[in-house]
Amino acid sequence: MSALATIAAMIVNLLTALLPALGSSSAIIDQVIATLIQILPVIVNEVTALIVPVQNIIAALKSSTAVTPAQMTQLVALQATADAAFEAAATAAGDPEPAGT
Amino acid sequence: MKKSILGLAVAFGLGLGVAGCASVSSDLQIISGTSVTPNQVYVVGNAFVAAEATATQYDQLPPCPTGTNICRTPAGVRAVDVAIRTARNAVSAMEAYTTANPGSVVPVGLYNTAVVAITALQSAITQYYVKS
Repeated sequence: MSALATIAAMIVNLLTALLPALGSSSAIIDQVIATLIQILPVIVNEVTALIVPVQNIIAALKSSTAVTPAQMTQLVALQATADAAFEAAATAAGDPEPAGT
Repeated sequence: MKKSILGLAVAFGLGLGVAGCASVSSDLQIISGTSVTPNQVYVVGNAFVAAEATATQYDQLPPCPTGTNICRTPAGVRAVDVAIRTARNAVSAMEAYTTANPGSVVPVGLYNTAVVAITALQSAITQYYVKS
């Protein structure tokens, strides 16, 4: 992964930590959306696993309507896929998931 | 180019952090109300998936030393993995509540537990992964 892609991932992870504070400011949400859209080309080219969650974040921040049960179902399925990929990588790196978790 | 984007990332984070102080009482990450909306759960759930993808890429890096600082260490793998699994449990509990109670607000305790876990995950990823 290139340094540019690493930094794009860093931006997404900054959002991960800061998203809970975004709820009441439309100006900040607009800034988040603009930044996510700017880094999407890098993500599309080099960090494909981030594409769908970033698109979903943009959609949710843009929408004023409540998230639908279908969207939640899709999120749970997406997370299951991400969980499986992570655990495979963790096992290969010598840190398998402890039994019973 | 690399420096300018890193500057953007830092400025972006600091800007959001300062702005966030205006709307959240004592802690930037914790919500002091009694409930959160399903949309907030959805956004945080997706953000966790994005962070998990980054953590997956960290675990797939070649082991250090590699001649560059883009590599994984046993301590880094352990810290990131523990943070991912803790955050995953918290996020899954929050999502399960939302799925079982569609359209309903979510108890803030579930949300704040997920936020604390994701914050720890963010710290681990930043400490071990983003060194450039």
